[in-house]
Amino acid sequence: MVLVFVYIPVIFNFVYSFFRLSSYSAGKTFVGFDNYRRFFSDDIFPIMLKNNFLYCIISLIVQVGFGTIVALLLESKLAVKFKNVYRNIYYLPALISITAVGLMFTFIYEPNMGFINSVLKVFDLPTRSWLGDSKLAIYCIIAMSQWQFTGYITLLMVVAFQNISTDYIEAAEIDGAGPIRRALNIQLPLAKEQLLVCIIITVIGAFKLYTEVYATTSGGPGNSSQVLGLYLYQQAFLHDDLGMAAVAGVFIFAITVVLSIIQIKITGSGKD
Amino acid sequence: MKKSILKILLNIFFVILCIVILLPLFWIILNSLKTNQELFVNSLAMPKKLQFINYVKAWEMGLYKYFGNSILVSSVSLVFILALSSFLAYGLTRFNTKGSAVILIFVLGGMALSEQVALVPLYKILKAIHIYDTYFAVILPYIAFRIPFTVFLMRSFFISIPTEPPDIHKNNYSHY
Repeated sequence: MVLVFVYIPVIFNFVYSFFRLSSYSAGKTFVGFDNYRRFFSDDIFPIMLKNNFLYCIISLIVQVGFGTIVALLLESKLAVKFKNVYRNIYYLPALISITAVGLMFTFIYEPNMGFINSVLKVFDLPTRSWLGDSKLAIYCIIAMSQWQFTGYITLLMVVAFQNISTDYIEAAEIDGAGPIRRALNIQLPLAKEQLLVCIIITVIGAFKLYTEVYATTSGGPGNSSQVLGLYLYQQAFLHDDLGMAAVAGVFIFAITVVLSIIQIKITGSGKD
Repeated sequence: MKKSILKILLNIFFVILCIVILLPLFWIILNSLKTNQELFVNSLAMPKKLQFINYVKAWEMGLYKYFGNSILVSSVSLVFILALSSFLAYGLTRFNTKGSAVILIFVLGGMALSEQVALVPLYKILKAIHIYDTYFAVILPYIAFRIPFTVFLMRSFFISIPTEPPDIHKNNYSHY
């Protein structure tokens, strides 16, 4: 019952977006798959795909990889005294709204008085316009996201590691496994569910990427940091072309569903 | 001896990480306490005098309303999301009903959608049920879009809890 009530907005929207697939907003004209064709042959399309995939891969390595390593270190036997303090500090950026972080980093990357360029000037290193460089812009945005969300993944994994009963770890220690061995063969497999959650949300987030790009570059110098989510928004509201926007939406949905299913199948999660 | 060296290294690593994470925040807070001119001259310098007046001005210029809105929307959404998601996740993991898999796929699919996808149809729906210009227009879709993710997180946690309590009487040889 609850499920149906809450789901009506989401499901209805999905249905609507399907219906609008091949029609314009004011006055429906059915144009068949023309919208799809236009979408896939758009010049920006490979750029968007590349940006999204770049974000996905880098996020996986940095956020999930590095975040998990930090979580392992925090939970290790070396029992750091302030580990809760560290954990909370790392989590702090995730609490800031993405728009605020985007604006803040626009300020930081600013060519004349931004933080990065000011520091570089102190050391007499060359400065450059970070967000205005068409090759660097997307990397800057990716870096901003890593800053914000690595702590989030660390927190999730720390919780997962804390749930592992110490019996396992002690047993392994008695058997003579060193700390790295312990981490790889005991802690990681037992936290597999949580790791899967983190990977899935990172991948899905990578393709839903919209707010970060909008708050900083709105597509970047000359479309170089365009991403799928932003494209959808621009098509719907700037170009007033709901058909294309709906196509983009369906495409995003299809990719995320496919990737999620692949991930769930590979790790065989949820089976008791 | 080796252990304490490792400990010190680990601590240094954590502190460096903290500095990296906190530096942008610190810089921004520092700059928020400067006047405009000081900011443009050198953004790394300490402010000559802490301009708390900036915060007061921002608050008066409308920030108080935005803050209030945020608090209202977040707290209401929080209550509903937590309540609905916990029930849903618990039901999905504890009871082996026939439709569990279907519902799970539904919920996970909802996670893949972003709010921008549903924006225009959402507008029409909200207008149709007459809650267009109210707080609920923000709260309800927000809840709807956040539930899948929350359910996903909770479900992964519920799965890791064993279904049977540890059997303490199994090896109890006290009755004969």
